[in-house]
Amino acid sequence: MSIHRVAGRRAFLAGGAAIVALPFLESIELRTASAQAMPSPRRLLYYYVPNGIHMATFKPTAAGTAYPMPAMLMPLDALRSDFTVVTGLENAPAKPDGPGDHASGTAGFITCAHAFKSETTIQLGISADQVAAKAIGSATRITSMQIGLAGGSTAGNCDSGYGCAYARNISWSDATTPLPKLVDPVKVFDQIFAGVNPTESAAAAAKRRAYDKSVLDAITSDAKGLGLKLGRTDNVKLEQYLTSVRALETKLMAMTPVSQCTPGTKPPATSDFPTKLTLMSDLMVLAMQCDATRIISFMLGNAGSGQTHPHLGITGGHHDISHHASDATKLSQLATIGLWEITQLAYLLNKMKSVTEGADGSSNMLYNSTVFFSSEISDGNRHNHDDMPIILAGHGGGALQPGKHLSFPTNMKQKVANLLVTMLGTAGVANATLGDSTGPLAGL
Amino acid sequence: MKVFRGAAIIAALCSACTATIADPPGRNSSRDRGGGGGNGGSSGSTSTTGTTGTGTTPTTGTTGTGGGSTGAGGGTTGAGGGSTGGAGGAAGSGGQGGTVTPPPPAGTDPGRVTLHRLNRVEYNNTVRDLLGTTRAPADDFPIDDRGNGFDNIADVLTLSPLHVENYYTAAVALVDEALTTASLRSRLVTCDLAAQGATCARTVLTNFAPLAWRRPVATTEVDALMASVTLAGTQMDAVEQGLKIALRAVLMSPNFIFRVESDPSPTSSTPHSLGQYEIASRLSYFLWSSMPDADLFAAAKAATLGQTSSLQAQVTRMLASPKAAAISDNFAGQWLYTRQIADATPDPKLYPAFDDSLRAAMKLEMEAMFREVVVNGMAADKLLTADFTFANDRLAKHYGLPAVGSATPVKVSLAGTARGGILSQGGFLTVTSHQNRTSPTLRGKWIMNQLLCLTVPAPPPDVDTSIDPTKVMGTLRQQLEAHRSNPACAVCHKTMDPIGLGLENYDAIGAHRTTDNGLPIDSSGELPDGRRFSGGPELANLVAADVNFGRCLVEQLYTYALGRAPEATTGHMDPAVLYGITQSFKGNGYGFKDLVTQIATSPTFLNRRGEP
Repeated sequence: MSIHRVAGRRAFLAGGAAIVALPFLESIELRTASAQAMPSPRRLLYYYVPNGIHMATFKPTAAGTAYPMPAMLMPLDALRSDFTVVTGLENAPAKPDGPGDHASGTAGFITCAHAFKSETTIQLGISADQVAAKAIGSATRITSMQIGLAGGSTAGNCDSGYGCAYARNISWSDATTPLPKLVDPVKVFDQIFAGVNPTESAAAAAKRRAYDKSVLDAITSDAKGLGLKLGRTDNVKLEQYLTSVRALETKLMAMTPVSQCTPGTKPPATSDFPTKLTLMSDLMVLAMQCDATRIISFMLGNAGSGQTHPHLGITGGHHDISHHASDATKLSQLATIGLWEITQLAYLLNKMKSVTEGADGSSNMLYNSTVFFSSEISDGNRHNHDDMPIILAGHGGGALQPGKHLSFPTNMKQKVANLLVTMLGTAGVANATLGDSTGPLAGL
Repeated sequence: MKVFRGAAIIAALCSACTATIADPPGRNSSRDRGGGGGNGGSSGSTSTTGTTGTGTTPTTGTTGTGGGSTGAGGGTTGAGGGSTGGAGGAAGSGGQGGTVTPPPPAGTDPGRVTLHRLNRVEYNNTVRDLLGTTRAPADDFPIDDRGNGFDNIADVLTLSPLHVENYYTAAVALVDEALTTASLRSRLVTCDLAAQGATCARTVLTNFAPLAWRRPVATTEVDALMASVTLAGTQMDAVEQGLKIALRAVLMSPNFIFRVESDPSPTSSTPHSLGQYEIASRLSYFLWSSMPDADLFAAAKAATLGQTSSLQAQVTRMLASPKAAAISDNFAGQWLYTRQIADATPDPKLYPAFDDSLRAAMKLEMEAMFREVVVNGMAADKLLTADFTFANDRLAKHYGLPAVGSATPVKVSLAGTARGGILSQGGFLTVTSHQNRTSPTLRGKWIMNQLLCLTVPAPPPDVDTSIDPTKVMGTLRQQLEAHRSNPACAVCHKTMDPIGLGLENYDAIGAHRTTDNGLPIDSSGELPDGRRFSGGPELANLVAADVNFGRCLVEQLYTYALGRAPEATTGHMDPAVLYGITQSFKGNGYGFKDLVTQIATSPTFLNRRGEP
């Protein structure tokens, strides 16, 4: 028996958000029997917005649980008990060598590692989501997903001597391997449901796996033979290839049903920025709801994005505006863009909360998740990497006590990395280390 | 260590610069290069032997030996190829920058190119030429990262699980199409698969794998592929099914996904010539962004690709092919930022004239200009100074020219107008502007970085970036002058802005104007070496005559051709090779075909080494 699990979605659209008809989601059905028998999975979501945040309307004026909701965070007001605003943390490794704050800040976003400044020698560190993917990713068919809205510019350098890889990727499976993101909702849908064929017989599945296996065996053998003839750097590339082939093998050979969901209708192709964002938010929830993955990283834009916001009446580029130089018009536009970004976050969080979970249906997806929201820098004009704007949403399945403003004096130099370590812990990744971390951050 | 990594820096810090970041329109930033042109070595010291042997032998069937890369018969390119190459001096000519440095010593290290994953364009073109498909599967692949301004730099072409997943999806679809579309099947399956069974499957694979892997394929490698055909038998499926699986494996193999160049001794730094098939691939991916064709395979088989005359003939032939459009799309598209025109987003309220037809016309104009250089032998410096352009009615109207009576671009004279050359073209002027205004800073930086390979000085450390600059009304020039009155900002802006200010008569979408903010425009400017000018045409003339222009184009095409950054380490061949090519390029009047030939016959293009 299947049950419609997505309900009342539009009721959760925060004020002012465009209402986009998404009929494809209405047809998603869960195969709930097995899902309800198991404990609710913990999810981790990393949400990146570019160009910093207008801190004046983001940062609460008081700490603790009774803080007045700042203007930019008003769309989250109804979720007040489901998130914590964290301010005053520093991401020191994300500081560039010389100019390049956007690229190095993005590279360091959830790696808390220092990007080697080069256009061609890419050297960073593993990201928090990939620490999780290696520890718990095998529980799902897709170990982790990387999603974004912009692939990247087509010419020119990306930021002041930093290679484009730093500016476009927040997920890194190791120091030299960035994980590119899917930027087309149709492709995200395909990734979630690829190979899902509920009518495939066991015999047909076995045959399909046998053929897939023969391809994988052949190319693995090719790669190993090739490796013997290549030097060290070439073998690094070849190792990326072999690792990726093994990941594909895991996916293709999975014996369990590939999804607890019946595929619905594909989302429509669109290039409209706000529509795409709404679709991606829906798909992220869908991926977790179907337990296709439990780990997602999302980039609303790339480092130093020049995205225009005509839907907000703002036709200047975001990056240009973020260099506000205290100009009143630009500050106002930044507040507007920030408010819109938070509105989109609220849409996602509300949607997660609307998905009930647990054997008795008393829990929900947001409760069982931890969502990290931040940017590559704090203020767009100062390019500072301290007092980072952070929202940590979700209850981590009960591991977190949200509902407050946790404020650290910047001179304490408390680390973003430690917050990310705490976050990993909520998903059962214990004693993780990341970048410059020294241990979990207390008080969350 | 990579060389040419100069200071690279820009004003990312200065508060009002807002100039620096690239993303959507990747308008950014400094380029990693610096060092002045090196000097000398001869490019041309490639071996000897004449005879263009090409022709005939249609490659395919080459079964033969394993591994590929025969050690190039015949005189390899003199690795050491020293001798201060061609034509001495000539550094100082057109002015500035030209402190005459002695030619660099000829090195002995030809460098090495990292195992090169096909980028998206290369993948699409390769499957087009391999299978005859019109699909472009790589459009769905992750966008390729760039380094040194290009997206074909092997070091940054990384590979993720998403890539391999995409390769599999693409391979399945491509093979299905190739086997089920009559016209495509006939070029792939040349025997009767139903009647001959495994024998025919073996024939197909024996013919196909060498093309897909761009080298001869050993019998043992075909044997390995035949395992899928055997499996189909076990599974009680037809041979067709087994062939399908084997073909997928060919397209998933690292031998297809990567451009493999093997070293006889992977850990030895002793230079060696590339194998003939490896040279064929270097040529074809350089000029066509695709696999070698039958002619190139035949030349490789005949082992003539180490010979200068054969390489010259190939360059001539290849540049004349329609496939050479790739060098416009991919080299010029990134060198001149032509690709960014598609992403430009001028403010529709301020620039209502900008629409998709104007956007398309701008792109076609820049492409047509570069085609003059590639196909019609126009000297490369004429890109800056040409007194004609290619416009359709839409663009002519935008430029204030008489209608040309054509929706497609036609060559029109610009004599007597305020325009000429790419610095006056709408595409360039748009992609170096902000959405709501021009940016003399970005335009100046673009000229320094892209045309002259000059780095912009770094801002001083600890510059206070939160300063609210003095508010000045008036023209943009006046506002920028106020900005430069802050010494911290001036460090960078004093070099960039005075160049770009010379182009203020063109607005943010390249329309001509005489006022800014209601005040008359002053389009005087100054190059970093102090040469002064007034307006775009004078600026273009100075840049075209600048000693750094030729050096810079050489350096960029060389980077693109090899897929790696030039090196300046002691003993490396790059400095001398670049110097020699630059001298030749200037000496030959900036002919593009000559430049391509110089690169294609250079010892670094034809040799490599292992990695200790």
